[in-house]
Amino acid sequence: MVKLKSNDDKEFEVEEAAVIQSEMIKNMIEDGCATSVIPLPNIDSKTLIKVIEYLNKHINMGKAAETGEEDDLKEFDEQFVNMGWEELFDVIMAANYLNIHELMELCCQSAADRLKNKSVRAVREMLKITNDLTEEEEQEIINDAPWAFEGPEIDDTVN
Amino acid sequence: MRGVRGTIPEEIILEIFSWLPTKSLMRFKCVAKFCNSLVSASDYVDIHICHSMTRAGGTKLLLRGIGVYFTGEEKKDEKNSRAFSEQPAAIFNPGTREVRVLPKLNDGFSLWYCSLGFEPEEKACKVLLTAYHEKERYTKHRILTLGIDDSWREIKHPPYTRSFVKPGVCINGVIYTFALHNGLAIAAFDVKTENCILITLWNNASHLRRHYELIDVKGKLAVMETRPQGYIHMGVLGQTQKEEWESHSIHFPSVWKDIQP
Repeated sequence: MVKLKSNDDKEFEVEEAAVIQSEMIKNMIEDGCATSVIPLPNIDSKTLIKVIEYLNKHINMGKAAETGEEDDLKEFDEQFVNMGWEELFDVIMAANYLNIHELMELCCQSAADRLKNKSVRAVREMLKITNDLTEEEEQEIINDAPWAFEGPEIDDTVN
Repeated sequence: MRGVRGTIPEEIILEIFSWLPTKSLMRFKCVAKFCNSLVSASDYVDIHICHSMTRAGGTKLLLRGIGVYFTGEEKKDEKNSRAFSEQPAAIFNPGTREVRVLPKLNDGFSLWYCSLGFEPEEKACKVLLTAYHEKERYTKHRILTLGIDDSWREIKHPPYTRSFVKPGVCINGVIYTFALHNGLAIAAFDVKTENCILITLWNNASHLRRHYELIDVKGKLAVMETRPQGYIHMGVLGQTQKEEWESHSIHFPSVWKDIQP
């Protein structure tokens, strides 16, 4: 068992087989840097619980493929990303920090699905990006691919 | 859905953007400067394409890859008029409307063709090029990984010497093309390992090669042989590539009788 500590000082015990899906922790264990408790200063307990839930479910990935439980896992993944926009980003940041490739992919695809029909303005707001393009530069991009800016699906709302 | 907490690193935003459909990606170039410059970078487009290809309804690339070209000297020779294309192979991305020209082969290879392969596990796109050296009469096989290689790499020791110039088909990470090796055979090139094996046909089709086509039938390789008698014989290869052909005959409706292959 490996102990993980969130930034709000809560400790969680996770099986080593599950936790090594994180490349970062796997490297720490292999290099002998994993002390009794691994502190995770970037991750709060709420997010860590989600990540551990994912790791535990995906621990038997290989086995699932053999026993035909793949559909089960797919359903779990669909349910898993059914969370709020802010929570999703907390998990993405944690997955990126811990370097859990599959979780990163799953959450980024979910974020992309929520963004795909948004207008440029809505995306800036949802991702808190400040526009630093001049009007001319913006117009140039639009002129290059006007078809990308037209269509009934484009949604200007941020919810 | 409100905005996210704090600022998100650009690398994460770009990772998310790489999973977008092409239309959205092209629109979001307008979000900020870093989006515009990165989305326009060719290695980023490669990542996006690879993600897209694993998704149903995602962008597929088009490859223009059959042609003849000449070296500088031959070009001057006006008598040599067989050229129908001197352009190098190019890849067209219908999503971004971008055309990428692949590096030219020089040193006397006159006839060449390309097949585009996609390897779903590592999400890599590779182009397999077969070029025929007319003067020296030999064939070379080269490979180029999109987004990684700047020039063609040579494949060592392919199990066949001559190719039959017809476009190949890529199924589940394997490019199948016709090869000439004691008659007509099929070369199966594994896009991931870059190994190539030969598969023999159910008959030793040594003539009427132009009547053969390779197609993808529900994830299996099928060879269509158009018979002059007015039907198509189709051989479907078993999943194991063990030369077990499942045979089907498709008869043309009578109105097609006069149509010659």
